[in-house]
Amino acid sequence: MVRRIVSVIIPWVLASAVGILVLVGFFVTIRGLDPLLNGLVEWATIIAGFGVLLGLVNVAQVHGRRVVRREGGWPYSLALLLSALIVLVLGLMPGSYGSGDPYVQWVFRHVLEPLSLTFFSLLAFFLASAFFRALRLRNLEATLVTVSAAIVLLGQVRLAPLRPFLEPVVQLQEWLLRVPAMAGVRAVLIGAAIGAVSTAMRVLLGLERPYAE
Amino acid sequence: MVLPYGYATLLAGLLLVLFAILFYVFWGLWHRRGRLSDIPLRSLPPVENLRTSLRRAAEMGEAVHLSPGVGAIDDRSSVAETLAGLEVVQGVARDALALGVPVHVTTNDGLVNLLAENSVQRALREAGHPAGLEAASELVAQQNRVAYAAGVMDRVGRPEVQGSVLVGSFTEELLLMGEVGARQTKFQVAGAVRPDAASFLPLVTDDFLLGEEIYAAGAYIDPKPARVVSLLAQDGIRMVLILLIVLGVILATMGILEGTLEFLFQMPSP
Repeated sequence: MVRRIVSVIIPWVLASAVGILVLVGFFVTIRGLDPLLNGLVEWATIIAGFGVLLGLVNVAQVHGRRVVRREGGWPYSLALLLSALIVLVLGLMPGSYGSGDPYVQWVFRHVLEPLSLTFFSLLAFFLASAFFRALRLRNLEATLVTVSAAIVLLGQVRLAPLRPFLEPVVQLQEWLLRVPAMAGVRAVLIGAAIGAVSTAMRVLLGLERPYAE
Repeated sequence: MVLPYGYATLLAGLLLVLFAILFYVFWGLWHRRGRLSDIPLRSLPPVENLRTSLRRAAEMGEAVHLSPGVGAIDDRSSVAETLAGLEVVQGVARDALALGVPVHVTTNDGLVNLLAENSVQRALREAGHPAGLEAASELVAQQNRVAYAAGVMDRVGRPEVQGSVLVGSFTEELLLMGEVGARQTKFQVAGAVRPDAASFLPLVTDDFLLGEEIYAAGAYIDPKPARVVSLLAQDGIRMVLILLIVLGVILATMGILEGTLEFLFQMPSP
């Protein structure tokens, strides 16, 4: 019984009370409530910080185990652990400015950002291969996406000699973006907003408790 | 006491109240009837196909990868999608573990990882702690979409992984993750809301959940009364909105409703 109170009922009451309070704060501005709501937002930031800390423990456990057991790809796990350790030491050593420290910033600017950009640029090639496969498989939805993308790409061509030939494509592209694409996006977003309300209401009412054991 | 976002806040509040009313009406009907088969649900083929694929994974003795997306719990713009993704993770993990299929969950945020770990442990418990089965959640990156995509591509590409379920908060990186599985013809169920990911869905799999379907999927995978009832309320609200849109189109065509609805976002005078 005590276990149920601690692991289910208290988290449920706290989550529902805080959620309903923040929801009320969204709909009406009540002067006395503002400091409390701001305080709750600060608490959320602090709790998220603890989440990162626990995440670091998870990373150390998973990759440490992989290195100790010499599982497949263990050198990558070792590289990950060493990188995490180096950044942690740089940010925590005496005299460091934490995440704003120049050395930490150097790592982000000259290692992480170029790696991220390089990796993300692969998206163009993945897209081309996905389009090719879609056309080969004659999947209706994927073919529609491919043909629409081709029209929009051609419509964006700004080479002056080609403009007279591409004028109908430019008009078609503008129509595609303005009418079917806009209608589709709005339909998806309206439906998704209702879905989000439904999920949020279940969590607020305690009918769905992802936080409880 | 003032309305912080103008009269539109009142409209949003009315919709919430309507949702609550519909929810309790369906809740009452549910308890009077007491059986799921009496309440009609629209079909969601990707969920049916997922069950078949899980059975195939069980026969092959291979694992399944699950992801609730790249969102975070402390990020307003992605929290609802992430919670929907976690519902799917828990339901699929439970079904997979019950069939004897190992489960690998990956996350992109420390807090989401805690919730995913909780979901996986709950799924393990519900499946009766099958002996010798792996089920764990792994934090692949901390709110870094590209690093997360790279990690997931590695997981999905492993030979012991039979398929992948990518349902939750995704943006363009969905294509990077989905393309690995598509090339290796592994089974994939993908679901996203945002237009920048949704347009890639048909390119990576035939079994995709578009927009609000990701919120409905939890009710199909694990039909708890609250989920089914809220799905029915969700459909009811959608019908009301469709009627309002059709009414608006008719009134605008007849010239009765002119101009824009900007007055809704004006602040009420004190």
